[in-house]
Amino acid sequence: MIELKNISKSFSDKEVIKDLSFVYEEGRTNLIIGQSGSGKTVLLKCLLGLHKPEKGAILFDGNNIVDMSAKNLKRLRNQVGMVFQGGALFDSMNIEQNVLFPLQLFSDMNKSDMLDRVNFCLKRVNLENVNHLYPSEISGGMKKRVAIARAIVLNPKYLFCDEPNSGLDPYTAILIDNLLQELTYEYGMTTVINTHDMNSVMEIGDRILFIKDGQRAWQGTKAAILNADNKDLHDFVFSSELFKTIKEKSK
Amino acid sequence: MRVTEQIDALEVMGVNPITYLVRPKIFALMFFNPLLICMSMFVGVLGGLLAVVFSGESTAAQYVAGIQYDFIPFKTLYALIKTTLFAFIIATISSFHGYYTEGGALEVGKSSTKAVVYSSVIIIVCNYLLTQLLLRS
Repeated sequence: MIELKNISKSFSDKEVIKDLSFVYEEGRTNLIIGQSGSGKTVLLKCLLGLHKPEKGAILFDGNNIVDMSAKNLKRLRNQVGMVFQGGALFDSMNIEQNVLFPLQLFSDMNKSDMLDRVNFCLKRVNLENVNHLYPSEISGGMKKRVAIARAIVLNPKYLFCDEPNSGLDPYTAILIDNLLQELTYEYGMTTVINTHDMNSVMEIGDRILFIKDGQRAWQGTKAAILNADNKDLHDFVFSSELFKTIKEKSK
Repeated sequence: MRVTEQIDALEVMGVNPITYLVRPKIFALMFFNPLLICMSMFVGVLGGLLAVVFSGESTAAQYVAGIQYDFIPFKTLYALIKTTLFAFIIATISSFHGYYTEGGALEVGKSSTKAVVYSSVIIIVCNYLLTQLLLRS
């Protein structure tokens, strides 16, 4: 479980996150949604310890990472997997080396066990016989899947994803969403996904935090979102004709 | 790498990106630049020898005697000191600009230009200072 307690983060004079509190549940896909510039990415970077909030606490199973020593933060990061928006695969390494990289850093396994683990993770994300290809030789959807394989290779307790299906076609996007949800349930991870894709929200949103101007504007589940009594959320969710039609038909 | 979030990925994995990415480049350049300078000195001297011999201007023995005349060994050391310092300057300034580049392809181009300009200017200044320090007598 990850708990945010009244966190605030500013850049120069601009307060991007304002007194935000929320609980990300274990074994669930927790979504952060909001318009571009609402503070989603800054919030995610605070959760990862890449930005330090000026106020408040971020508790990973009770351990506050805001005032944690670099050594303890490094230890905690062994339990964190991250899927970046563009995949962030290392260009100079092939797929196998990319997924192997965290194991080489943090695992005591021998080379053969490491390769078995890499192949298992690649198979788990439905990628086979791509080990010797380079990131420039695979599609966007495959890059995302390799990034997911790299994120889960150390069996993390926490999985963070920054817009995992941006730039993908709707079919591949749903495959990625479902894969993330399956992995979350399978490994009992606390998964936090940053998105503004309403299809993802309706597909995998176990628990949703809607932020506007750096503040919590709404929280709930995908079941509650269509009938939520919040104007900002309503404008966000029903900005597309598709969702307007769905709402009309559900009446 | 910053632009494509690869540096953030290293940081999230608990790897110090500066130690992992920048330090090897600095050490590699400081080691190989003097070697390249030694090679270029050798090739230069050898090229001179071939030129004078094949053009018939003088003999190989005269050329060897000529290049040894008034030879000051310290100047070879001076060249190696300079190239090691220049290697350090090129590696650190280029890595600094590369490491902190944010944005897109345009910013990568701007950072590359800045790295070349700053390195060149600092090398010119350091060249003057080193020459004053080492060859003033």
